[in-house]
This record gives sequence, C-alpha cells and structure tokens, in this order.
Amino acid sequence: MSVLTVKNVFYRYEGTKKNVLKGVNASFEPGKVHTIVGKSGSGKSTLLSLISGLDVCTDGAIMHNDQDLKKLDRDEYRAKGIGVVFQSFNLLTNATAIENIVLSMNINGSPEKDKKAYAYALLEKVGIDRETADRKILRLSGGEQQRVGIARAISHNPDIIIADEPTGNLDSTTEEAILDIFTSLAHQEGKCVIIVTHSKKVTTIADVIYGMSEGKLAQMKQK
Amino acid sequence: MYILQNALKNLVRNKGRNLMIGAIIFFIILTTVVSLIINNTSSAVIEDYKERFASEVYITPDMQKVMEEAQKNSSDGRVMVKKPEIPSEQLLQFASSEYLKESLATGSVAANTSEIEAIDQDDSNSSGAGTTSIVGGGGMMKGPGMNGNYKLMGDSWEEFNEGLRSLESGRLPEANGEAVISGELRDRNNINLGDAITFTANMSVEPPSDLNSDNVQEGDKVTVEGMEYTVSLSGMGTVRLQREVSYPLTVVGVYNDMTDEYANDNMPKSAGFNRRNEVLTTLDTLIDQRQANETGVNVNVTYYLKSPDMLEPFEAEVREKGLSELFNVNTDTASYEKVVKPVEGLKSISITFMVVVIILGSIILLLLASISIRERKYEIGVLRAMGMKKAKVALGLWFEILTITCFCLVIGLGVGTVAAQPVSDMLLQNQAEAASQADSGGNMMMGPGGMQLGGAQLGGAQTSAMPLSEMKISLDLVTISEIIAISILLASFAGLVSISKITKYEPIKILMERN
Ligand SMILES: Nc1ncnc2c1ncn2[C@@H]1O[C@H](COP(=O)(O)OP(=O)(O)OP(=O)(O)O)[C@@H](O)[C@H]1O
Ligand SMILES: [Mg+2]
Repeated sequence: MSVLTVKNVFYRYEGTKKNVLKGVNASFEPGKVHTIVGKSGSGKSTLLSLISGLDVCTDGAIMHNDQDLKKLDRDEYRAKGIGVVFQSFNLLTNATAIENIVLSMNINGSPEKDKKAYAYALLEKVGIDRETADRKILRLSGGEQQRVGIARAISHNPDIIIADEPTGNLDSTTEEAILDIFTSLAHQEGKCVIIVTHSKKVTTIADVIYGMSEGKLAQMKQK
Repeated sequence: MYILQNALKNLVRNKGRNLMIGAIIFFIILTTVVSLIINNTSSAVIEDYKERFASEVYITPDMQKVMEEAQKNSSDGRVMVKKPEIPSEQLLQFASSEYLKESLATGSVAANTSEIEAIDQDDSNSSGAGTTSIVGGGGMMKGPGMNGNYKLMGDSWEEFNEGLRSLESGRLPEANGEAVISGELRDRNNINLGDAITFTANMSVEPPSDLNSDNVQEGDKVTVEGMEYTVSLSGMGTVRLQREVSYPLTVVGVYNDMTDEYANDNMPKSAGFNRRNEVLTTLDTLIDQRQANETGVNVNVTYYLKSPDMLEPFEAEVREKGLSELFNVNTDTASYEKVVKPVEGLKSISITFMVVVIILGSIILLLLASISIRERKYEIGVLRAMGMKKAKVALGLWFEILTITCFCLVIGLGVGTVAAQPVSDMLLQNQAEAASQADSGGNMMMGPGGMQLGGAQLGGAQTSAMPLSEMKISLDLVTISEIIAISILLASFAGLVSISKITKYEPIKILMERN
C-alpha cells in the first residue's frame, strides 16, 4: 500500500549523455520515515526532484496514488500533494521568513483563517522566534534558513514530505528537535516522510532505508 | 488577491530596480502626454483654421486679364473697362459640385410696390418700378435705389444667425411666395400676417447685337427668346431691354431688426438703401420670375470646400461649367498657410518626438525587463517549485509593472499637463519665426488679396492674418484615454517580455542553474 511508487526510472540531464538514474525502483508508504543515503553525486537529489514533480523522468514512471506524475497537473501536485525541503532551501531571499511561509500557504490554498498566526506558531515549532521570523531570509543563518524551509514544507499539511539533507546545517540538539517533528509527522499523523541524508542520527529514526549508488537504489533496511 | 499583495510587496522589496523602471516609464508617459496634448490641440487649431481660411472659395475677376481683354476689343483706342459678371445661373450651377461641403446662395431684387409706403420713401423711385423710370438721364444713377424702394432678399438669413434680426411674430417663409417684413414696415402700413403685397421689379436681357440706337426707339417693344421687352436708351446711346415682373408675396412673419438702417453715414437716406425695407423671402421665389438669360436678380453664392486641397478639382469643374478665364478661383491659402504652417510644424515635431521616445523607451524597457527577469529567475523558480502556476506568476509580474505604470501615469499626467503649455509656446515661437522667414522669402503674391484690384466685395480675403504665437493647450478626455491606452500597452508590452521568458523555464532548470 504505497502512496508513491518509483518504477524502473531512468534520468538523464538535458544536454548530457550519461544517465544519472539507471533503473530506480522504490515504494514509499504513508506513516513511515524513509531515508535515502549514498555518496555525493550518486543521484539522490535528482531522484527527489523527480518525486517532487519538478521534472519528469526520461524513462520509467513515478506513480502518486496510482496516477502517473507525467500525466498529472504537477503544479497542483507540488502545491497540494507534497512538501519539499530543498538542499539549498530555495526561499525567497528578499522576503521575511514569515512572508515566505504565508505566501506558500496562499499558493497551496491553505484553509487556515489566520495564516500569519499559524505561520508564527509553525516557525516557533521549528525553533524560529518572532524576531527572527520577521527578518529577511538574507539575514538568517544557514541553519535558520533550513528550519524556515522545513516549516514551509509542512505549512500546508501535505501527505508526503520530502527533505534533502534537512539537518545538514544544524547542531545536534536542533537536529533532534527537527527529527522529532518528522517522526511524529509520520507516526502520529500518518504522513509519508522521505529524507535524503548523510547523517547517522537521521537513519536511526528511519523505518525504511534505501542506499543510492551509481544511479541505482537498493533497500537496506525494513523495520 | 495574494498575488496582488505579493506584487505590491515585491515593489518595495526591489526598490532600486523598480525606481529605474519607473523612471523610464515616467519619462515615456511624460513625453507622450506633452506630445499628445500638443498634437491634439494643434489638430483642433488646424481644423479650425481650415474652416476659417481655406475652405471658402473666392471667385474674383482678374483685373489684369480684364484690362487686356478690354484693350483687345477696343476698336477706336478708347478702352472701356466693364467689370465682368458671372451669370447667376452659372453661380447656382457651381453649387452642385461634389467638392463642396456646402454653399450658401442668396439673392436680392430691387423692387417697388404702390400698395404700401416704404420707410424713407423716395418718390423719385415710386414710379421707378415702371418700365420708363430707369431711363432717367445720366444724373439719376445712384445705385440700387434708383429703381426700387424695397429690396426683396432671397434666403438671406445671416442676420438671424448673427442675432441681429429675430422673428417678432409669425414664422419664417416655408414655401415660395411667402415673406417676412420688418416691424417698422408693418407699423407704417398696418400690415397683418396673411396680407398679400405685390411687388414689381425689372428683368433685363442683353440686347441682340443687331439692335442699336439707330434702329430702335425709346419705348419700342422687342421680343427676345419669346419674351417681350421694352427698349430704353441711355444717355450714351446704349440700348437696354427690360420687362416688368411681379412678385405677389404673402406676409407670414415680422422681424425685429437691430441692424443699422443704413450701412454707413455716407449713404443717401433713400428707401432703397434702408434695411427696414428689406422683404425676406426664398431665393427660389425671386429666381422663378427670371429667365435664365436675364439679369435683374442679384445672386450671390458662397462656396465652402470639403477640404482646402479640393480647390483644384473644383476649379476644373467650374471652368468646365463655363466660368470665364477672366476669373480667378482661390481660397485664402496665404492666410491659411501663414497661420497653420507653424502649427503643422509643431504637430509633426511633437509626433516625431513622441514616436522616437516611445521606441527608444520601449527598447530600454525591454532590456531592463529582460535583465530584471534574469535577476528574478530564481524567485520565479522558487514560486514555481512551490506549485504556483505560470499564469499566476505572470499575473503577479504584470501587476507589478502595471502598478508602476499607474503611478507614473498619475504623476506624468500632472506634470505633463503643466509642462505642455510652456513647451508648446516655445516650439510654436520657433515655428512661427521659421514660417515668417519663409513667407518674406517670396510667395507674397499668392494670396487672392494681393491680386485683386477692384473686387473687394467679391473676395473678402484678408492676408493680414497673424501667425499663431500662442495656442491654448488643453487636456481633453480623448487625450487622457489615449495616454492611458498607450501606458497600458506599454505595461503589457514589458509584462509580455517577462511572461514569455518565464514560460520558457521549468522550475527545476531555474533552481538548478543557481545551485
Ligand atoms: N543540472 C544538472 N545538469 C547536469 N548534470 C547534473 C545536474 N545536476 C546534477 N547533475 C549531475 O547528476 C549527478 C547526481 O547529482 P545529484 O545532485 O542528484 O547528487 P546527490 O546524490 O544529491 O549529491 P549530494 O549528496 O552531493 O547532494 C551528479 O553527477 C551531478 O553532477
Ligand atoms: Mg543532493
């Protein structure tokens, strides 16, 4: 019973000859934390960009609830179906943290009445206080930006949360706090959580671990 | 809604860039405002002057040709210059030209009646309506009064338009045979509406060439083209053929007259000149009694061309219809050119200027827009990655540029309106100077005014028109909407550049490029 199924996916960047993904198979389930580990450059971020609907695979298929992402309205899918924490954050650097979250909620059609209050609370939850929330992204540290990115990814309560190195810039205390959030999202709220990571700590919370190597994915652990 | 909000926030977030775009748009709008205001105002001025100077046709005798003609014809060395006349039948024919916007035909006939008494009745005239009175020895020739105490005026309503005359009672003539008279005439003679008065007048015809003072006598009857005429001989032995016609007129109205009784103080106080004795009827009423070959109804037709450049075809047409070479056909082009040339120059300068600025501005705007879109690519990638649709991203960008434009529009309209007047004054002055220099350069003789010697009352052209040195600038609704249209077009144009750029990119590509 998977919410997201990756079927024999190949991917080659436009203008290059080499396949980055060479027949990836995986299935992601609700209520579980999945992690993907692997050497730098092995194709993890690439796979996430396909799962996130930012691009489509060269060959094979990615199914969301049995629907091919290729045929789906991927804008809608990105807006409502998933939340993504990007490796390089991808926040609006000229806007404040709170503006970033509220804008995202607007785009995603969040039903929340008081979006601003909700966004402040959410930021509080990932360890961003009000004063920091009102600062422009440019004036935030890497770790703070990362937490804003996480808050944004979950602000519209998506069923799938995808995170690329979400704790890469965090100290271990904050890392733990963030991981708690991910675990409770999966275990309490039944979300499907997919995390790419190099961190040992992250893998300890994983229900399923995939290993990425040379464009191929292998399942390493199933709880 | 949030798209608009975000767009407004973006304006503040990227102050520097937006100020630059704003400055360019402002400059374009300002130029457009000033140019359009000047252009529209000068168009109005040109139209006005076209109407006033260049559309009225003057058909005037060319006195030089008249003299030459007279010299050619004189057999005994005595040159007799006779002012040429255009047969009234021809004047009326000319009016049917398709080149004319309109033509105003009026006519007058000197008339008499024994049924009523005229104001300042001149009894030397009272019998004058009769066939013999004209004879009077040489001394009697004192103008229209010589053979009539009244003047029957055909379709002569100008004074009513000018407010000098107004209907006091009754109505204006609607059918032939109806007439209005002055209040004074009514009072003197106790005339009531509906009364009929019969006037008499004389029609004359050119005597056949075989008729001369040797073979006819005063009072002889002669038949020309089926009509019987009475012969009268002038002191110099010229033969005149005349017949009497009658005009039975029904009084349908009375007018109040504020014109001077006599056109000037030098006029003899004679009923024929007194304007209170003018009986107003239709031109057709007067003409109906007249044969085509006869004179006696003094017809005056003013022609107005549809546009000044139709003078040539109109002249060709009237020549075709038989206008003698002795006449010149002109409009008051000299005055027109003198006044309008600077305005036309101003108009073309302002339009050229505007076009140049709009093109240059658009190019700069285009560059700026494509630079800024590069800067904003990342932002657009983020929005797209968050799931914002292309159309919404585009709308946001368009909102931004539109807001800047609206802002510039308001300020531009304000500053432009204030600036238009001094700019126009300055340009116009330069143009007027250029025009007056060109004028003194040579074509002084072009105007009808310069040519004509005697026909002052025929061609009332004044070349004394001053070139415009001032033009009242005004901003009308049309101009405002033109400016708004241009601005929105401009904003959309800039927006379109952005939009076409973003639709080219997939979010992943934009984000990848940066990472
Ligand atoms: N836009 C691109 N165009 C061409 N090749 C790319 C592009 N982005 C990534 N690659 C290549 O694809 C391969 C996989 O990159 P990817 O970013 O998926 O690696 P990764 O596993 O996420 O690495 P890391 O752990 O360092 O984040 C790399 O060899 C990389 O050079
Ligand atoms: Mg990566």
